[in-house]
Amino acid sequence: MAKKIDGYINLQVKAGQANPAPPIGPALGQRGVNIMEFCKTFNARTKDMEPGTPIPVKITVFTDRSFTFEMKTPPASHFLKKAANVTSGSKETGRVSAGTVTMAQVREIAKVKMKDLNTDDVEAAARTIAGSARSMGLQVTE
Amino acid sequence: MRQSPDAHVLRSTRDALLCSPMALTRLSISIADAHNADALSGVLETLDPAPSAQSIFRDEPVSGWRLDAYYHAAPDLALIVAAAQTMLPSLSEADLVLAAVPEENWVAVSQAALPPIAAGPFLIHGSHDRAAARGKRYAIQIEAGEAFGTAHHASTRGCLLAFERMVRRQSFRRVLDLGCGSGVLGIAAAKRLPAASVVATDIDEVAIDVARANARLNGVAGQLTLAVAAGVDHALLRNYRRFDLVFANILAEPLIALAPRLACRVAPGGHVILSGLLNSERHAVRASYVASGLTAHTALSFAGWTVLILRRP
Repeated sequence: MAKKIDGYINLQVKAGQANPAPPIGPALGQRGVNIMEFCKTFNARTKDMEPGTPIPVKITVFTDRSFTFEMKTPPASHFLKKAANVTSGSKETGRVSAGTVTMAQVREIAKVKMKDLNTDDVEAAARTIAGSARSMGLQVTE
Repeated sequence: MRQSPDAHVLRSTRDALLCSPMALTRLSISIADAHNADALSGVLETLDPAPSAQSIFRDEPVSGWRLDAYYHAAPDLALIVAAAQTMLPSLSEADLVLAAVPEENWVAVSQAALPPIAAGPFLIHGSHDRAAARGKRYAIQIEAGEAFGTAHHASTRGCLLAFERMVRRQSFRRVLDLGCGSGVLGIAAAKRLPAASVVATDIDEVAIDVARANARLNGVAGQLTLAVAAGVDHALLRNYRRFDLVFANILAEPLIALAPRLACRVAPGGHVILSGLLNSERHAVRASYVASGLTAHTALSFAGWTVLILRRP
């Protein structure tokens, strides 16, 4: 088929919970993308994940409004908050600690995130994740 | 009781409408270069507040791209200009256009942007326009989903019109839809020619899954054989030997690359309908098929796109 790309839409959608409310509705609706078809397909494809897990999605839209989408792994902050058992990062990073994660937890997260971090090296990925943890105000312990 | 996926989506919409603050701001920036648009989108992601969604689309009729970023909290324009300094030194706050996004029924908006498409006796429509299709003999339901071929592009509509022109003069018994996407052309052929057997192939597995579902939905599953295949070298196509009608709505470059092998699949007296080429590309595509033993029959133009019909003598 004469598939030519018209544009891209990037957004985060909760696993199993795509619906036409903002931001999905306006972001897709203003570009004439079939919202119900996207929501149904996304929810079907994420039905085996933990409901509500934030999934970064990149939708590619073609000139006839057909589309494809790819899903990335949830953001590091999602895994870190779960590991530290907190609901948000520190409001005053560097001064108030929001919680603690262990290096072992960081390595586990690094393994999951590796394919999106452009590396085959677990230690390098772990350093990136530990950096994200500190910027959220989490302490990283051995 | 089982609920349809629609019911689930609508229920969670209602919940979301009840509990989420609705005010949404759209920041629009026109950028000449796609790479810079992508890079700026990455920068916005790192700023606080971060947008909850972003889109980058071709900015027609202006050449270039438009980046739209949707915010729940007002973005800091001075911070954005400063952060974009290295990649877009000429960007100023005057280039950043803010607009409040009104509350709308976005499902209705997206459906209104996908109206039914008439092409000769065919009417291609989404599930939301079933009522408009009632009583139409050659109505074909295709959702604008994960496979190309919604008929909202001139190349697909042009193929259907070219096909109808030919069917009025002669009948076809063995039809191939090469690069079938949603299956729309193969389904149209099966509906229009109830005695024909139709083969539809695509290089993309997802497209074949979508085409299979569409064939069932449109009541032609028994007439349509589907296969994942790259080009024309597939056992299924070899078994059929030659077709008396071949659709190939791809793009100029692969059409030219496929010319010798595709031409071999056309039976003597049979036709090919080639689409997905711009008017400026028609001479090169036609020449490659003439060189492969076909004779030029007709060229039709639709909104800048050409549909070529060629015949094997």
